[in-house]
Amino acid sequence: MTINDLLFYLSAFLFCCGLLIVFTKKNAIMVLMGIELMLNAANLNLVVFNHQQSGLDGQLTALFVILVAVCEAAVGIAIVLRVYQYYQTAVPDQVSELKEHD
Amino acid sequence: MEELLLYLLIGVVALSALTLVFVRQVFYAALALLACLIALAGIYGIMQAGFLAVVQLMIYAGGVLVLIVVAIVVTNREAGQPLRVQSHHRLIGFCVAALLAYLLATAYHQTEMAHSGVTSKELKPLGEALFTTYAAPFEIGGVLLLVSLIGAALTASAFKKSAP
Repeated sequence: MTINDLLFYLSAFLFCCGLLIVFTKKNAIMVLMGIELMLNAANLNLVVFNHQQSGLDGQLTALFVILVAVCEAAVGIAIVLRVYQYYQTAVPDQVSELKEHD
Repeated sequence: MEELLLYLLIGVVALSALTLVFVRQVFYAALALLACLIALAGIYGIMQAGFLAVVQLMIYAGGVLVLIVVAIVVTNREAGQPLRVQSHHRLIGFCVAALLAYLLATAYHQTEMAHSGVTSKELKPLGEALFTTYAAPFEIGGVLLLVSLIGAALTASAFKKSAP
């Protein structure tokens, strides 16, 4: 097994860990962390592909993935804070009403 | 030497990802994520993507992690008590993740990778590509950053609830 094979398997492992976190954790912040982990797994794949090929397309795609991931994290955490302000909880399962309670 | 360092970094990434799955306190999860991101930046550096390694360190380890830690501190209801996380649907989640891991490993096993040359380590072609071939996504990315900055600030700021 070459080092590139190992890195591909690591990327698959990271993605599965991220998916498991998104599925099982109850806290919204943990879910966001799982999403970050999955995006990083994709980035690792892109970097290893770029290492095997000539050209820079993989690195640049990874750069744009990081850019979008930052936007996602900022907006996601802003939403979590807003929801916490209103419902006093960061657990999505407990946010079960749309109406303003009197 | 480089190979040894790479194996070490792979070990750190895998261990911290496992820690992230099994940890109970959210703050420790953030620390594990930090270790994972820094080790990934090291792997990028060894795989001849130095610019990406710096970006990863600055934006992920410096920016996103601080955001996550602030969110953990703010959403901690009981002062003095660490924020804990519970998990549900453990069996289904594990089955789905294991299935996906099997699929990915099989797919990778059956694919033949083509090797065509090596990438250059220099920064100059990357900057040139960013401003010629990738100029449109670059500009759109800048607009996206601005929009998400304003949107996040507006969403998180405490405007009056009774406002129409």
